[in-house]
Amino acid sequence: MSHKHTEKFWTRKIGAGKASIVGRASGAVQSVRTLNADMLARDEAARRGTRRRALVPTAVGFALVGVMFSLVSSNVLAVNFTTGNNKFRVYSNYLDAQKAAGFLSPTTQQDGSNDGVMEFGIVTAKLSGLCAIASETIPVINLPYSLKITAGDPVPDTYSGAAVPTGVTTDSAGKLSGASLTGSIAANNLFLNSNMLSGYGNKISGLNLGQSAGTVHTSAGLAWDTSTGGTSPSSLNSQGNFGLYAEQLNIGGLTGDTYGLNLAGAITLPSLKITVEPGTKSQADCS
Amino acid sequence: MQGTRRRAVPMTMLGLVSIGVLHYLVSAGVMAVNFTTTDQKFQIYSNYMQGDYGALHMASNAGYSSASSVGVAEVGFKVAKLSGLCAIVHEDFAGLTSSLIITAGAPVAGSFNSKQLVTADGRGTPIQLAADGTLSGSSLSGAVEVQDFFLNTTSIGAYGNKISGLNLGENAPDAGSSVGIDYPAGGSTLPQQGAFGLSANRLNLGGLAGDTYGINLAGQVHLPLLKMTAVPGAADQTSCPGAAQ
Repeated sequence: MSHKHTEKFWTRKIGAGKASIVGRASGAVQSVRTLNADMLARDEAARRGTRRRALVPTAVGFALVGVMFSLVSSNVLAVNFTTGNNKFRVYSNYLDAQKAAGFLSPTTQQDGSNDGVMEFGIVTAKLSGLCAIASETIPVINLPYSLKITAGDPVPDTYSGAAVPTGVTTDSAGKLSGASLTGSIAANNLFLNSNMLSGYGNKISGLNLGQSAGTVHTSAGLAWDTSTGGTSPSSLNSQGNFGLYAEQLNIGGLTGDTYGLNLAGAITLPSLKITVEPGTKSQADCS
Repeated sequence: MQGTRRRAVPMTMLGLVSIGVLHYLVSAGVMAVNFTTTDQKFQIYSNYMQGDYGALHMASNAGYSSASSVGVAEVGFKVAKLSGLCAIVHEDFAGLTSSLIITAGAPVAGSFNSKQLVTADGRGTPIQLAADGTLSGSSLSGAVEVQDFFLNTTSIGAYGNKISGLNLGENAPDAGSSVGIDYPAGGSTLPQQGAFGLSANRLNLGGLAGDTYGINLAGQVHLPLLKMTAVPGAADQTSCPGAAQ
């Protein structure tokens, strides 16, 4: 082979090689692009998958936060507490209660006594007058004294129990009306544990007696928080304990004994008076 | 000089530790001073009291004599913000009655109607409240603010405004501790196990009028526009607006 032929041969060879290299490089780039596109697609799919998978717990989380917010904002996470060892007495000219639930339960007294009480919860309560009297012997001076808390309309010396007390105005459905309504004490989510309530039941409606204790709070839309003690109605469900539920539980001339009273929601108490007086006071000392 | 610094280090450390302990004790309210009261109750008035975390129990007053050793309600507040304060003390000297009037903050109105929320102070300036019943605006910035505020009273009258988290019948020692109140130690005023207690997360009292044998300010207090005046005769709430700064 002459030098010229040799040169042409190598020129063709190199040119073909160049073309081959370029072709192979181009193919490789194409492969990389394809691979990259595949990876991006897989990555995108994977990311969308994560998002999709995250949607469920996120939605559940938001739902739980919503439920929690609802519970807190409606103040149904009432706090239970250890009570004193003595009952105190409450009086009201009229209790206008909407959605009430109750069940039998042991008390939560400080000394661990296990007296039976009715745990009551009321979603919306309007009270025409309130008088609460706690009497105890005070240490050191060893004399009986009474702490008296009054608010709203004056409570008279006695109630007959046979009629709505004079001066209390109600409408045809038995709800407070007129001056008794405007001067009433409104409380949301009122809880008390009482072993005695008496009065004149006025146009009580939707009353269930003997409803399973574990369901009465659900019927009323109430929740008992027992994180600091006390008995939850749902914990009694399996035992089939006695429960009470009423759509409306109006009581005229209410007299009751209770170990504790809890108002989880905000309350306005016009004409509030707190006094400490010597002796054991009674309803006749309310006004 | 380095020797001087080295010698100063233990003293400085001791001082800092002491300040820390002192701060802890004061902030925990355990350095509250319990004291023997006089035999005379005195009157207190406020246009509005925003009580954050309050508790109450019955106890015997540590009085000067048997005349004042009586049952009282020991009331404690973790934080109290008062729109105006007027305290009136009466004393008899040689058959003549004199009164000491102590005022601070906004002028207190000459009378209250406990059936309604007080809307203005003793000079007609509106009392500003937020939707949740707390003081706001100039009523808040000009308030008398007290931390760890205790009084022993036989009577409190007011318009309870948007009281929240109220427990009646709570075991008396728990009532205080559940809202972060440490009652002054020593004496007969501590809550007894099993006794009646009251606690509230917020205890707002509009048109507060009460009596007390003593006031104990365990924590810090700001008394803007403080004024003390001795006047002849038995002053009453009607004297409050004129006595204020």
